[in-house]
Formats: sequence, C-alpha cells, structure tokens
Amino acid sequence: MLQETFISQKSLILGLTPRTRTLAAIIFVSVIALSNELPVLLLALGAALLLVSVAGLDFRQVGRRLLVLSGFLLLIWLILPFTYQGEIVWRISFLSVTQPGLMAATRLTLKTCSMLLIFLTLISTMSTADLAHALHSLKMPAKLVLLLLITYRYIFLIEEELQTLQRAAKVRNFKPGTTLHCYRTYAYLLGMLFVRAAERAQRVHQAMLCRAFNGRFHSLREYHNRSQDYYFLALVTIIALMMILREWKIITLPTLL
Amino acid sequence: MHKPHSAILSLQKLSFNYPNGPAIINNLDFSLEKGDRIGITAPNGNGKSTLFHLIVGLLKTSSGRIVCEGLEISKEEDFRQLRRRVGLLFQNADDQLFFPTVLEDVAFGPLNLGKSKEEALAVSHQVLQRLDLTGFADRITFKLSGGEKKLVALATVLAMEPDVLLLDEPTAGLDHNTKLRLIELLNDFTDLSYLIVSHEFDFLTATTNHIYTLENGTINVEEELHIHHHEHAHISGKQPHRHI
Ligand SMILES: Nc1ncnc2c1ncn2[C@@H]1O[C@H](COP(=O)(O)OP(=O)(O)O)[C@@H](O)[C@H]1O
Ligand SMILES: [Mg+2]
Repeated sequence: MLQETFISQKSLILGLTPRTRTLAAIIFVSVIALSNELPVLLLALGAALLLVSVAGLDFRQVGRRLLVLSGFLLLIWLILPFTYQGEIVWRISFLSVTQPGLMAATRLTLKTCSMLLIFLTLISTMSTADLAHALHSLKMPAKLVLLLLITYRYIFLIEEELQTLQRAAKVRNFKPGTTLHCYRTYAYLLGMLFVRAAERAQRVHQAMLCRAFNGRFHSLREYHNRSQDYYFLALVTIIALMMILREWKIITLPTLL
Repeated sequence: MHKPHSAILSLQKLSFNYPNGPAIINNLDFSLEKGDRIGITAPNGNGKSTLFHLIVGLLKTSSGRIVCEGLEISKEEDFRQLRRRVGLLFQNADDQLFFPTVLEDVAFGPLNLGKSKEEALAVSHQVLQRLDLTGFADRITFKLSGGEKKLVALATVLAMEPDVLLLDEPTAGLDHNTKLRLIELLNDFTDLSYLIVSHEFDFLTATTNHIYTLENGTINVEEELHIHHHEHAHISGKQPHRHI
C-alpha cells in the first residue's frame, strides 16, 4: 500500500500552517539549489538537521528515506570524482581522482541530503490535500493545483487496479520470474493498467462536466497565521539571507564554517 | 407520445452508435413529465448507461433531438445548462468522487455554479444531513466503503439541486439496509422527477411508478412491466426466484 508515513506523527512542526511550511520549504530549497559555496551548503545541512530534530520525526523512518537516496549518491561518487579535469589528488592505475571532482560530489551530496531532510520535515508531514491548498494560497496556478489533487486521488485507484490485476494473475498461479512468459505477462499487466487509467481519466472528466466544472478551482480552506508562523518565517528568511550573502561573498560565516 | 412541450425532458427519434459499432440507441422516443418516477430495466450491454450519457451530452447523438421544456438542446452550452438541472449518478461511484475529502467533493458542484464559499458549505452540509452522512464531512473519499461512496456520490449530485435525477444502477454494491435507506430517501423527494436504471425489481417497484425495458435500442412505453404476486408450486419452489 502507498502510505503517507509522516503525517500522523506528532511534531512541533504541525503547529505551523501548511502554507507557512510550504513557503519555508520553497525558500530553503531554492536557495540551496542555487548555492555552490561549501560553507553555505554546510549551513543548509545544519539547518535541515536542526529542523529534523526539532520536528521530532521517527529517526529510523528518516534514515530509511536517506538510504533510498544513497543509491543515487553512490552512483555520483563512483562517477564524478573521476571525470573532472583538474588537480589530481589520488591515482588508481589509469583512473585519477581530481580535486574539483571530489568537490562536485561533496556539493551534490550536501545539497540532496539537506533538501530531502527539509522536504521530509516541512512537506511530508502534511497531507497532499493540504499541500495543494497551501500552494493554491501561495498563488500557484489553479490548473496545477487541481492536477495535484486529482493525481493524489487517483494514484490510489490506479494502485488498487494494479493490485486487482496482480491478484488475478496470482490466483491463476502466476509466479514472477525471468522467463519470457513472465515478461510478457508483466507487459500485459502494465498495458492493461494504462488502458484502464486512460478510460478512468475520461470518465472522471465527464463526471466533472456533470458538476458544472469550468476549469476553475475553488478552495474551501483558509489559513490564518499565528505568531509562531511569523517567527518561523522570520527565522527561515534570516538563514536564507545569510546563505545568499555568503554565497555572494558579502559576509563571512563564523570560523566554524 | 403525449404533449412533448410540457415534458421536462423529451427524447425524439434519438439514435446513437459508437464509432464503427452497431446502433446502441435506435430511434428512441421517450418523455419525462414533471413528477414522473420511471424505472428502466434491461440486460447488461443494452445501452442503459449510454442513454444516460447521451441525455446529459457526454456522448453526442448521431441523430434525433433532445428537448428540455420546449427548448432544443444541441450545443455544448445548452448541455451545460441542462446539466445543472439533470443530475447523473454514475454507475461507478469512484468515477464521480475526485476530491480528497467528502465535504470538498460535495461542495465542488455548488462552487462551480458560482455560489459563495458559505453558501456552498451550507448546501453541502444540508445534503449530507439529509443523507445521514453528517459524520462523513472530513472523511477521505477513497477510504470509504463501496456503499458509502455511492451515497456520497449521490450527495454530490443532490448538492447541485437538480430537478431531474438519472440514477445508473444505484443499488449495485449496496447492502440490504442501505438499499432500504435509499428507497426511503427517493420516496421523500417529492419535488424530483427521476429515471432509474436497475436490475432489481423489488427496488424499482418500491421507488418508481412505471417500469419499462430498453430493447433493440428503444424504450417501448406500450409494454410496461407489471409486477404481480402469485402463488404456485413447482420443484425447488422454496428457493427465492422471480418471474419476468
Ligand atoms: N466506449 C465504448 N466504445 C465502444 N463500445 C462501447 C463503449 N462503451 C460501451 N460500449 C458498448 O455499448 C453497449 C452498451 O453499453 P452500456 O450502455 O454500458 O450498457 P448497459 O449500461 O446497459 O450495461 C455495450 O454492448 C458495450 O459493449
Ligand atoms: Mg450500465
């Protein structure tokens, strides 16, 4: 089953409105994505770790998510250090590890980890419906918000159809394997899934027409900021500003960084 | 056919076929007067759902006219207006619910009709209350049971405040008690006219005044089905069974 693991967990972050959290995540992530200075990225990772510990998420769950990421990072560490031109730090027969290559891999690792942690704490602690409404209140185009909401609704249906198909295959004694027969069966399953999804999409569109849908999205939710929302946003802005100023070399961060 | 101009909905010489397919609806004449409660029963694949989709303009007729209170409905804009008055309950409730929570889904129609947030919420709560679904407002739509989904889907249709209901197999997947509740509800709607497609005779006799069949693409109003009870004896007569 698809699950939204982090939603039901109690956490300090839940005191903030979804809009505040979404806005904070957008600010952080865009600044991190555009930064390249090592101290800035270290600061970002620090802020992300702080967020995770304040939010009180289940560390094992967080670790599991990071583990998923590590496959991707491993790939980067296997390729990047060897493919950059520059000062050679280490030579293994015909391969040579370069300084710029190591730096690039480090930067990417820091960036991805801190972004993932920020998304985990700020975004994955809210339901997709909340996220959609938060984006709406942040002036995201209505069409995209509607797309998100409907994707969310129907991803579960598609999963259900997949399970139905899988069960149909299983009760007829189908065992996954690596024979041609298996591959063909999987191809059919996938094909059926696409056909059903497409048909369903059409019927949903018809149902929406029946309810006078005209392309506009109306939200029933309203968010009211409380004082903690303002404090939090102020803090986020300050950290983001520090990162930007350091990135532009206008200030230096404390010697620790 | 009687007085087509006074009918809320009048279908005249309607025909339809899917691309490269045989005629599913063939020269169908039918009219629905105010207050009519009509049941349609037919084997699977006879075009009942197709007929409903034609009426609200989700499918385009090959020939024939759809007339609503004397006005011919032909352009998409006409159908838009028609759909405010004619509410269609889909055969599959999953197709009809697309918002995460029940309340949002029910309020979607009224909001599209230009109601304010407060008005839309008021109508939605009222409809939910009428269907005994008050506690469902914040439930997640895809985590409801099949029967609950059906009732919520009905709520989304009723929230549009239609004059005519088209119910496509409303009892499919409902348990006995929910069916009884639905019968009670439908009998309460004194100001609504409706057309119900169903295979369940008991349900149709409890909710409609006339029952017709859809055969060879037409509804034959001369051949109204009558249910009568009779006693007889034969082998396995103790098993529940039905004569049509
Ligand atoms: N999208 C489609 N394309 C082609 N044929 C269809 C399509 N949908 C339904 N049909 C055919 O039209 C006939 C009537 O379908 P339908 O109206 O769903 O029947 P009913 O609701 O009475 O069971 C069926 O024979 C079906 O195979
Ligand atoms: Mg049908």
